[in-house]
Amino acid sequence: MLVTSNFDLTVKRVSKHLKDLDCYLLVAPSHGINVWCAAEAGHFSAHSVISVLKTSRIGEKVKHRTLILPQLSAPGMDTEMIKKETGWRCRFGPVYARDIPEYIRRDFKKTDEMRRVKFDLMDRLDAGIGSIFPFYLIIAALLFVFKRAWFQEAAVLGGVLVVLMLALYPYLPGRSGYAKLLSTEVFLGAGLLVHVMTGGSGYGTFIGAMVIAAMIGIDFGGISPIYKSDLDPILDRLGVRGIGPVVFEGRGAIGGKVVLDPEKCIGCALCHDVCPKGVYAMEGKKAVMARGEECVVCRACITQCPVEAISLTS
Amino acid sequence: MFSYVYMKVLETVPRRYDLGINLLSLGMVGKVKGDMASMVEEGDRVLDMGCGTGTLAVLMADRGAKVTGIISTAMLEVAIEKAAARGLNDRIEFREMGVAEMDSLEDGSFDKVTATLVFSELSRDEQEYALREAHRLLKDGGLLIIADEVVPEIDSCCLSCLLLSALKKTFYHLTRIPLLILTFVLTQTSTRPVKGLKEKMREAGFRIISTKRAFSLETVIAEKEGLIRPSEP
Repeated sequence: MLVTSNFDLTVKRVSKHLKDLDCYLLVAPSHGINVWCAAEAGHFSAHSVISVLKTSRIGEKVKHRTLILPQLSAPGMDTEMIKKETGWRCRFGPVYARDIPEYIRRDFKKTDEMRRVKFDLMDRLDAGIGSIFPFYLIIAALLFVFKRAWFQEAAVLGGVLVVLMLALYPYLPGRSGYAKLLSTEVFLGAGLLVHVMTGGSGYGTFIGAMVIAAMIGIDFGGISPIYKSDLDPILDRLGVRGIGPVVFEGRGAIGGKVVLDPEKCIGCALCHDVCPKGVYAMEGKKAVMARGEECVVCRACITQCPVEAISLTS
Repeated sequence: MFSYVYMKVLETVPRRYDLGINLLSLGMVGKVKGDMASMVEEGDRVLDMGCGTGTLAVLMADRGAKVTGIISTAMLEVAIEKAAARGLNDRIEFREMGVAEMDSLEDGSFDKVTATLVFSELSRDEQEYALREAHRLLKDGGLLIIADEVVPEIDSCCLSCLLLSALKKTFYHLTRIPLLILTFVLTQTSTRPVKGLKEKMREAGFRIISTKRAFSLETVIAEKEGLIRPSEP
């Protein structure tokens, strides 16, 4: 019995990978949002799962009482509440639907590889283009109306830059998103300099490219599953806590750090199981944060730890 | 940058929900909730299913009812703040509960069950489940009062009814799309119309007493009767 969120693309992709398996797929209500975002924002929670378990009466169709949830739903999933309300036990399956058949073949055991979120070239292009496209359209429309002469150039430039920056992101010099952005700008600036010195005219293209690159790069980390948002801590330091009615408070993780209390740890390894970045390792009967610098503060471990040994400090 | 703005804006939706719903219903939702609250009498025990930010619960508690509000989203916090600000904590109890989690509430323990803009958020299975639960939780003769977004139906009893209802339907569709866009841009709140609700209510064992329309919202008042068909098919 597998569970996923009600986002059309998710359901289609998961179904494709389940096609040769003998299983049920429950689609729990999540306001049409994907698993990870919905789990973080409270739209894909124990309430969603309890609701679909009860209203679908799936319990009448199968004898066992074990649910396989998407690993990335862990940040918002109170599995104890599901157990208490419905009697179903939960375990977290692999991150990617394509690993589900292998996961089942291995008798519901995950390899570390299956626990990791990757963000490879196709994913980067997919996420980047998807999130930037609607706004790019708006800007293109504005240009089209007010500054027709720039329109073609900007459209081509923007397209090329989006693809280039996203494709090359891990290879751009610099560790944080901002360092990477800076190096992109320096590179473009150097191009502008060379262009002007060699007697070229029309440096508008370069300026345009720099502006567009800044727009793309300003919070690239935020859209990705494996980098922290770059903008959160900066805005916080500047004292920006809200714009009009939009108050920034939901992600209490601003500058926060996940810490593990080894005294409380009972060695259940759930944190190791749900961490999408492979931060935790098991040393004997205790978990240790072996790769703490990789943490993106998704809070999956905090939610899942049964003894509250993991917490967030500011 | 854009994803960042999305994220921040979405996180604060609960606090702008009331504004959004008011806009989308051209201010009617406030009036409808006022009307619903006026049906409640002092001492009534009322269950507000999907209480949102607690607006209706507070109105009913103001009239002396003992209200239980259930909600499964982050709006719970806003609701609790609202009740505390009005000093109504002793008469309202908000609980984090989805409509499928009402098992712990006792049979026949409520005089009235209310639900505003809840059924349109639920799947078909969930709607049927919630109606069966409402039936179980109500006393005999207790009232179920539902207000939700319903597309006006064409009424062909006579020519004037036909013309009037056709006009209403056209007006509804013409105003809905611009309102939907405006509201979503400002508050990221939206609704979708519910279908076949009255039929489902009858099947769950309710007798419909009256229906009333205010722009896009329809209020249906129904009384608990015996089950027409057993709940297990």
